[in-house]
Amino acid sequence: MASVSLEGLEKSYGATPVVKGLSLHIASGEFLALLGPSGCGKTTTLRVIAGLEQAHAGRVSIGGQPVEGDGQYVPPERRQLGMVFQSYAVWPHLTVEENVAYPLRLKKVSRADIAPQVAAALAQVRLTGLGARRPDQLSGGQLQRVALARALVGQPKVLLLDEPLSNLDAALRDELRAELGHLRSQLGLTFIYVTHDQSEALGLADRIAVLNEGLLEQLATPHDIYHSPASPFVARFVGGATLLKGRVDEGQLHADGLTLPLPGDCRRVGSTRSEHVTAAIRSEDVVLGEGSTQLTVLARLFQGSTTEYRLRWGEHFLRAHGPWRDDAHPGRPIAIRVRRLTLF
Amino acid sequence: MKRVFLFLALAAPIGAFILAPIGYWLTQALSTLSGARLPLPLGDMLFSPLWATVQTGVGSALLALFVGGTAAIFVERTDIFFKGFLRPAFTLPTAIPPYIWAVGWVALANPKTGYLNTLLGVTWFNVYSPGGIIGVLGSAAVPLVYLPTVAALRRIDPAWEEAARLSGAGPLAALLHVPVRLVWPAMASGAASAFLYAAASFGVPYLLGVAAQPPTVTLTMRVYTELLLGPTGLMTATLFCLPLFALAAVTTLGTQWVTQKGQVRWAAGKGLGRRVQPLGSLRPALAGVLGLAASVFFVLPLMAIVLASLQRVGGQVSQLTFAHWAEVLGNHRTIAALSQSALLGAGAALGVTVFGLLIALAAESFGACGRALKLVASWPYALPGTVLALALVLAFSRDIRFIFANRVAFVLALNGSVGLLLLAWVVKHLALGAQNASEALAQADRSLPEAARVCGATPWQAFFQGTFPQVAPRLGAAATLTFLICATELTLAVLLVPSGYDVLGTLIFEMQSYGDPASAAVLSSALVLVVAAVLTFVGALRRKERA
Ligand SMILES: Nc1ncnc2c1ncn2[C@@H]1O[C@H](COP(=O)(O)OP(=O)(O)O)[C@@H](O)[C@H]1O
Ligand SMILES: [Mg+2]
Repeated sequence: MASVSLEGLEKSYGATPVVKGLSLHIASGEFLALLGPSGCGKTTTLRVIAGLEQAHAGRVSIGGQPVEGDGQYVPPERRQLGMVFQSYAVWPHLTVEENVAYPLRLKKVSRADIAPQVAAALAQVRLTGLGARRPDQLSGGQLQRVALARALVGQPKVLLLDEPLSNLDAALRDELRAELGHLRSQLGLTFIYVTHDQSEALGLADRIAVLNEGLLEQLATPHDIYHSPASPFVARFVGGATLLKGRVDEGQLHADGLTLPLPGDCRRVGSTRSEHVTAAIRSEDVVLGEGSTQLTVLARLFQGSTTEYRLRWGEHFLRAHGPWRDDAHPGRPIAIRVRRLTLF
Repeated sequence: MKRVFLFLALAAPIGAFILAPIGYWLTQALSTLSGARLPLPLGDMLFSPLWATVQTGVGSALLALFVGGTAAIFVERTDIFFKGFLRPAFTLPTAIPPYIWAVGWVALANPKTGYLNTLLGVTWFNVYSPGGIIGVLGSAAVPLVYLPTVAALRRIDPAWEEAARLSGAGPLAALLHVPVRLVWPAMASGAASAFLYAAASFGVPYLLGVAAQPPTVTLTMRVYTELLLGPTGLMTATLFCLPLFALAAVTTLGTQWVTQKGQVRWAAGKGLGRRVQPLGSLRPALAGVLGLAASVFFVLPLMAIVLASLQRVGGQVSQLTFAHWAEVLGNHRTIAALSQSALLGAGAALGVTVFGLLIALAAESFGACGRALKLVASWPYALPGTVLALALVLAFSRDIRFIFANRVAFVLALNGSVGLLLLAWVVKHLALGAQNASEALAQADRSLPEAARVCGATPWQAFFQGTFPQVAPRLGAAATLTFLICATELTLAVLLVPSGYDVLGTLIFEMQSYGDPASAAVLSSALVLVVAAVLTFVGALRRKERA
């Protein structure tokens, strides 16, 4: 178990900056999710922590020991990390057991000690009995577990995971997510978990770092990220909020040709000036069939436990979630009320 | 009925010009063996050239494996310096015929006047030795290992090495434990190709082995010297071809077995990254070693050839002259040889491309029979050129009369004509034409000819409207390659050119072996320049096509 800290990390590919001065401190034993859209630099950040890429500026230290920065660079094999790759990276020429035993062999663990440690690691990821299989005889979910066992067997200080569930189908993803949560509570290891899926981050992490174009947008607990987004980007990416640009005038929001009365539950972030605001409205905060604002129903999508509505005015759209309504026929007008919003 | 006729029309020449000559040679060789009025016991006669051939082949294969394999790993999988120089240096040497490298090495390292030896004041390295033969053939064969290894490495996910690094392996261990373990079948089959390339080579062992102390005599050299003796030699030559044939067969079958056994299967990744291992502090040293190796093996001999072509006989390196160039290139014998090579090479390229396309089409449309036809047509490519040449000499040393339906008659009189050489070049390189055509056809979009059929075109019209334009660029590239190989070829030519007739390869060979190395250097430099120009042109065309 060890802490990880990044200070002013910068990394470019050619002339394109990918990570732009990222600073983060991950406490020992913490589960941190790096969350952001595809291409925002999550994998690059993880690879710099692993030592697979060298940063152009900034410092990285693991367990208080500097491993990168100020002309210093500790190669990946000496950082004592475990990593689960997005493509699993299970070696095809070795059996499951040989894959998992590899880190121990490099550590010169004696043959007699390797077998029980490998068996324990396989049991931990529920692969007991499959040790003699070749990787081409395993399913995607099983490959993922082999990768996890291999990352854990050397008792790393920190476990790095790069979108570990993104190549799996939905049912398997839910199952493995639950298992990861369970494993995490058993191991007490520092986790850095890269994902573009907000539900994985919200469900698993102690804290979430939301990245956007190589910059840190917000670092907070899942609850705070969801309920108190620090920027319009976080509100939209994590909360699925609709963003409206406009101005506030006498308790009314005028945005994109729409006028809404400001609700009592109105959160202001930063020094918002009234003449230039961005309003973030989450879909579950839109109440249908009440209030004075009339919009047109564009689509009504039944989703079982809830129903999604797309509402339109002019060229603009608003997303809403709520119970099924017979009167919300596509094409019909409907009254809405916004019960909560955030102003930036 | 029409299909059967079409198939037979293709199968007949393949039977007549591939199976029949090889079969005839084999029966002759075996009957000579049993009829035995041999000058020496068979074992004594065969042992020493076979041993020299195996030594040459194994030594060259090991050198090519070591240099080509190491280079492929470091150039493809690490952040080594000079990739822009190293890639072409390890890719291109096989485009230049091996005897040219021998010409270069003779200029560099002959014991008396070699540039390296005079520069150092001692005979640092005598190229007239078994080691010289292995050095020249092994370095010329480096691309035979380098290219298949690179192709195999590109199918390997870089994350596999990175996972090894995270597991505690250093950069070299990570390379050794993952990519090397996965590409060794490709490396091994490349080394087998290098073995055959060297074992079947004639020009290099002859140019360097005859003057060695004691002389090195390989099987191909024995076949050549026997044939110079005339009809009596012909029968002994058939015998020397037997072990050559057996070596090729064993190597080919062995390679297939190894590649099948060693194959590790994995799901082909989608869009693998091209990330490489950082070498860290090893980077400059490794780049220096590989850069030096590439320069010594591939740049130095070419520089030596050019220098030798400009040097006055017995003069100082500082007194350079273009006199040899004017003299050699203006000579009527040179001009005749160059035009014969260009003409015959173009003929061979045309024959290989057209016939190769027909064979590829047959392999697609005639099921198992068609595939068998393609297999037989590709066989001569795996056969040592010397064996093929001898089989053709043997089979066509008499005129053959064909009479159809008691009326139409024609005489096939190949003996003593360049027709036999042209035939040999086409037969030997048919595999290139057929393989390239097959791959091009496999990639072609089938909907274009189908659309033409729907519009009312006949199958042939549909082929020329829809398919041919798609495969033409690839066929053009194959034709250019065949032209380059044939126009500079030596092994077949030296056995098959009629007396009093020259092609480029035999002329350079004669100049170099009969005491006119300066002229040989001029022609060799010219040849290298032409090859380089053609390759640059083809490369530019391909880049333009892709853009
Ligand atoms: N090896 C590389 N060379 C050049 N550009 C790269 C390389 N790796 C990533 N990039 C670019 O850097 C950006 C961030 O990549 P990445 O860190 O993989 O994003 P994420 O994991 O968040 O999807 C992307 O625009 C990507 O195209
Ligand atoms: Mg990524």
